[in-house]
Amino acid sequence: MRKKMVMNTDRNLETLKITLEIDDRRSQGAPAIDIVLGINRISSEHHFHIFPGRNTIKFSEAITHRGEQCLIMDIKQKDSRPLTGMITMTDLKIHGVSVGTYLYNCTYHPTEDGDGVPGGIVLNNHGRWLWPFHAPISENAGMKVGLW
Amino acid sequence: MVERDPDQILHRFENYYAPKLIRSQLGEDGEHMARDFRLTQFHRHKYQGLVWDNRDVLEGSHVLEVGSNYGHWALLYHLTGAKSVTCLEPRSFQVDGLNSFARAEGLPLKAVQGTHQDCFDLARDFDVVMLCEIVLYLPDVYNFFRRLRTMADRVVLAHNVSLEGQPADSCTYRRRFNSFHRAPVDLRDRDYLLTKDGRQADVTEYNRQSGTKGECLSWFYGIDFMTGLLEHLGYRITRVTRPDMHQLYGQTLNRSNPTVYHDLVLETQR
Repeated sequence: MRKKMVMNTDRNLETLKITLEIDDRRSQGAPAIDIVLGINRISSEHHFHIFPGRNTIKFSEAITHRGEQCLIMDIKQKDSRPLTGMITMTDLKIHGVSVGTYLYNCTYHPTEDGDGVPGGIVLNNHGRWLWPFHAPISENAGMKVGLW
Repeated sequence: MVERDPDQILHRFENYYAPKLIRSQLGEDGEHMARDFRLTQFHRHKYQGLVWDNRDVLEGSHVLEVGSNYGHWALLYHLTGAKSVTCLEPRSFQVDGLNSFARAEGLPLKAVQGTHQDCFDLARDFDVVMLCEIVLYLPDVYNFFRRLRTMADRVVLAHNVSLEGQPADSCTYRRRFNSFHRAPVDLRDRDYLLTKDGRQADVTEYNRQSGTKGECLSWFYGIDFMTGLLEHLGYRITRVTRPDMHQLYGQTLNRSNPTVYHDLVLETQR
């Protein structure tokens, strides 16, 4: 059978629709926490606010090259008090499909210079959360997001 | 009209049907996936082994597929010659999505919500049962195949999975954690399985360390064990092939449990 290149028409490898489910356990009325997201680099286009309760954050970003990628989430402290363990990453979906326990591939860096916490999904109101993955997702046999 | 050229079938699937099928199942979240969809080497190899090489079995047949996922393989069975395909699938969004897609396109595909245990409640007017990557998840393989004998004239078992180095006449298992239904299914807890997105447990359950919630067993049947059991139950084995896992799954394959695949075509003698 004939073979085809796997590449979409605008020369990106693929465009991913990312959904993050975040549980904020602070009391109602607490000030919003700012987060900025991106793949391989954070982008001001993907700036969101986290409020107490359950938050669903969605954004899309194009992947331009094969291989290792990293979803980055920077948490910007707005509250004057540093809070510990108030935010939980409960799910990550790609194209609406949960990555399941692959969520634990993440690392949480509470501070810029300290060690990261492998598999850290309970976060403070500051720091950086990273989730590495291999693109293209459409060919990722581990995650099986798509028509497998 | 049935296409006779696999390239044309796959071309029509890739460019016309697959984007519509994805949109009907995932809605707005699947928009990029639908727009970017391209067949991969995995699709081509799997189509060749599972569908094209079995077209003599599929052509003109009423097919039951147990565990149909998005229904894309069921669609390819039809495009390759199956008269109709009934899909049994536990996840309701996939059942609803496939039914709405089939209605919109006027295709003879029908999805029914349920697990392999529910197939015996269906009318027994199928010619072929397709078991694609589900035997690994069945804790009651003997009784399942005993009852399956009356469901259809032929069964395609793809794939029988065994561990590399496992004695061919043995059966073994691995304990796993299942956070989504694509992973092995713990059938002890069917109500929990049949939630909207089909999950049995999520990371929240995992964090709570709630016993064995979401844990399940993957069963690995050596090829001699499986063929011996099937022959004992009266099946006639008409074809055994061994697809190459690396060709199927490529370089990103999880090799923590290296496995060997066999595909079998069976006659039930009903």
